[in-house]
Amino acid sequence: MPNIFDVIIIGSGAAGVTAATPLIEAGLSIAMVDGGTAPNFQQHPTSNTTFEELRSSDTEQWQLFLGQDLSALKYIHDSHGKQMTSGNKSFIVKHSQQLPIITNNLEILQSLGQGGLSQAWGAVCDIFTNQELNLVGLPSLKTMKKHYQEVITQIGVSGKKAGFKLQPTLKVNEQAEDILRVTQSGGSYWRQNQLSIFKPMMAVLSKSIKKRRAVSYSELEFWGNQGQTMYKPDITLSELKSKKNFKYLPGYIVQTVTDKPAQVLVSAQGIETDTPKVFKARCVILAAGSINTCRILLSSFKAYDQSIPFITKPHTLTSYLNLKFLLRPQSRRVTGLCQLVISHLHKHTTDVSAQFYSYKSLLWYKLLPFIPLPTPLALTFLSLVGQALLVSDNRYAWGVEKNNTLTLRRRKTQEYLDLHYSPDPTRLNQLRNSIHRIQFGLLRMGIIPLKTVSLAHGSTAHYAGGIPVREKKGDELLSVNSQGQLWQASNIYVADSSTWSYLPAKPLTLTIMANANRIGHLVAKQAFQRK
Amino acid sequence: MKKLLYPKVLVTGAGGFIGQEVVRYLLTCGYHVKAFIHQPVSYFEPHPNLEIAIGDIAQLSDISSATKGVQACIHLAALKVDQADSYLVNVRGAKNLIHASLSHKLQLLINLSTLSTKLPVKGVYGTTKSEADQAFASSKLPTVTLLSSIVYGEPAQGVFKDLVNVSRLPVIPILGNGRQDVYPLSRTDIAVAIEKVLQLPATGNVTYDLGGKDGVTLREFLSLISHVYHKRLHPLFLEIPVGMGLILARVLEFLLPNAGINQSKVLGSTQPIEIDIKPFHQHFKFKPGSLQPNLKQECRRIHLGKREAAMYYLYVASHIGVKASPSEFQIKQLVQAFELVLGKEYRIATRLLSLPFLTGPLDTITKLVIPKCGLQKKIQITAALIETQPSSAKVLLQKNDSLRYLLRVGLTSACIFIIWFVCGGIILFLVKAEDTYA
Repeated sequence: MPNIFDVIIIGSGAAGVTAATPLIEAGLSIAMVDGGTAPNFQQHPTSNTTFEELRSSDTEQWQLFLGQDLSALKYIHDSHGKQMTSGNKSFIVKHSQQLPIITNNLEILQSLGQGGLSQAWGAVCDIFTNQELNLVGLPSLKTMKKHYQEVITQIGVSGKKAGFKLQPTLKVNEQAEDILRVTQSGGSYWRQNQLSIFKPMMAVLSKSIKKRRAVSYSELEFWGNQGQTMYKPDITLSELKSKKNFKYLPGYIVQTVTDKPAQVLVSAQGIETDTPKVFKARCVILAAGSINTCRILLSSFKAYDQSIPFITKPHTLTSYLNLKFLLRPQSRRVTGLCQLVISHLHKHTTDVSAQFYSYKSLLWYKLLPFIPLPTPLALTFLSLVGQALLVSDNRYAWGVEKNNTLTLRRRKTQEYLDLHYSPDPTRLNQLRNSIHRIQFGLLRMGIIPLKTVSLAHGSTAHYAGGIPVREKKGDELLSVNSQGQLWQASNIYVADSSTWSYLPAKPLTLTIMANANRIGHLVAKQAFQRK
Repeated sequence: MKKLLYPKVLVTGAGGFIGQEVVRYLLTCGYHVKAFIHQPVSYFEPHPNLEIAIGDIAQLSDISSATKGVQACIHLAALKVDQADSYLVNVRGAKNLIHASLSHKLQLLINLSTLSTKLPVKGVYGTTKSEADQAFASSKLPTVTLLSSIVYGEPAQGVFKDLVNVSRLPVIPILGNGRQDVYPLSRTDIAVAIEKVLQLPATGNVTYDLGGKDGVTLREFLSLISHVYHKRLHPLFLEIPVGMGLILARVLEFLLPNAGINQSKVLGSTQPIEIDIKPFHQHFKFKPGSLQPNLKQECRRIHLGKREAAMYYLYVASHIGVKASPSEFQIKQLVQAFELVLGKEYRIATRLLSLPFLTGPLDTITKLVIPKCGLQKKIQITAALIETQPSSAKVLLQKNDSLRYLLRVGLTSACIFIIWFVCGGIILFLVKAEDTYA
């Protein structure tokens, strides 16, 4: 292990691993300091089978759905549990004790696992428009385009987008196809209301790349991820691990980063051993996820009790019953991934985005509390109407607001974050109206909205804010220049969404990765010049 | 660690009352166990040396693939009720097993049978089992057949469960005079006994009587159960003549096919049998525990939380057609989940335990009135655990597209709902004891 690395990257999530790739290619010596704990949900031996085969023959499937210690059950009565699209919430939230947070009403997801929060993502991608990039604080699409494309080629994204080279579009299920067909032929309602309906861009392969196999989308189950068809950051991480100039240092929680004239000191705490450890590098890239990047920087500058902005997206779920499909035989091979996106455009920015999921390859038990029937009858009911059920995950765009803040506090030697979030109710109602328009449009097609459930703020796991992009050093506590370089410490870069001042309703992981790729290239260039 | 004569063992009927215990015990002894089960249910805690094979013993192909790679087989699969497919499982199953074992060159077969095969007049169970025993005895495979007496243990199942239930009554009915000898054996001891057989090399086909240390009459056994379980010192008995018992069994069998009483049981509990348990004890150096302390120990294992968990399981599972009684592992899992989710507020609904049929009405009414009460939480957790059982997939993934089916299920459900709703409303009106909803 070299005494001093060229670059230390903090965090192995989508931002971390993407920033690492150009640096490795440039031949720099890289270390990645990470929590790196193994997920509670271990790769299930039979996860190569389809959902249906798994459900009807595997006697140990409970481990996959509920966790080996049944810890997923803890969340069936709260907001995390209501999220229906991913089963491994437990692997994420179990770290809350090691990364303490107090909030008014937020439910924050954090992960110390390999691959970070994106390990449990839904693989839906989108490309931000110029206006959205501008609001976020990123360079224009002209600059970002090549980074988007580089990431898309690297991780394998399928879909259709003008100006980008993608893998062929994936097949969606019959319900989604039907909705698309109807709305395209008689779509005046949708056009008038500025609603667009499209098949999502997905980080799911439709053509094989290297070792990853393209498994047909209709057979790909959310749980199994056969042939690594769906991209997850640990795929890049394991590729990186095989590189000579890459060193993975798992088992640490980074406390502070200190910028010295010629080097940066990264002090970390061992998770298991609890012993402090210091790593040295010429330059550090922070990619620990918005909240924890802010935590590390505030702690490094000892900026206690000073508030910085915090953004997350409000989030609701709506279930629909598609009457047309109630008694219609359907293909049993469906997938738990997003089938369709309906989004509302306002001044060239997407302010509401609803992702539609088929409920057939998920478990019913999460719906039970919402059905006013006794449990066994509710189960019977679900098995009867299940195939006609649709769930939409509605996300609302959100920007910086005065009341929404993140503060580092200290009690004795213990540091903790204090998050305060109370979104403006008028704006929230405004955005909910767009959802009502979507619901009305679908109702006209015989798709009845059954129930909308509001989830706790923060449960989308989309967080931003804190370290805004500024052209010159202002009076903010923390800010970065357009290259992601911290104004307050020139050898520290930020590659995750903590530099964003706005969260569009669109899925954001692809843009986080494109931005991390851009910063990776910039750091590589600068490190080279220095050498 | 001592070297095992038969490192890999197949257990048929592994999901049963005795099977679950045998698998657990063999795993602790270091065996590699292949558990052959009929219902796809998680019976066992995951273990590196445990392999699950799901299949039907009446299908030669299923049992044939299960016997591959094992050195010995413990045959416990049997149907204990007088059902039409008793013959299929008990006789055809045994013949299939012998055939498969011969073709895969197994070195030992342990066949657990019943002392009912010695009865002069046999019921269906006795007849089918003794036919199976003859097949084993005449096979070219070294077979040890164990004719077992009554097996007791918690959670009570089978004959023992009937005895526990009967001994609760103010006047205990007893068929015949109740003077015939039984050698009750605890479930732990029977697993030990089977493992003892695995320790010695096989020597041709032999048959042993298997029983516990102490012999008692059926009447004595019943009063002991009544004493240990229900704290009654001097229970009253009512002798029912055999003939009347048989008629009663006939009628009940006709009306309620799954009733506790059937011809085999009547015949089994009324005829005296010659039992000699000593040869087995001597040959295999088997020392079972004494009856009374063992029974007390088993009784102490009754856990209110477990009984509650089983009650919710039965309630949720009954309507989606999953195997009726939960396995011990599932109950353990449920109790663990309740404690995990409900934490300190976890209370056992003791009142509901004595009136389990009220679960439906209470579930219906609390779902509408108190949706966040403990009862709702527990039932939802139970539903989650049942749903992650493969046996539930058959119903929950079902695709019935016919309108007629939809209407039938819909109407039945509506009726159940109305009845439960009314009952639940009345209960809620009458009882305001919070304990009930815990």
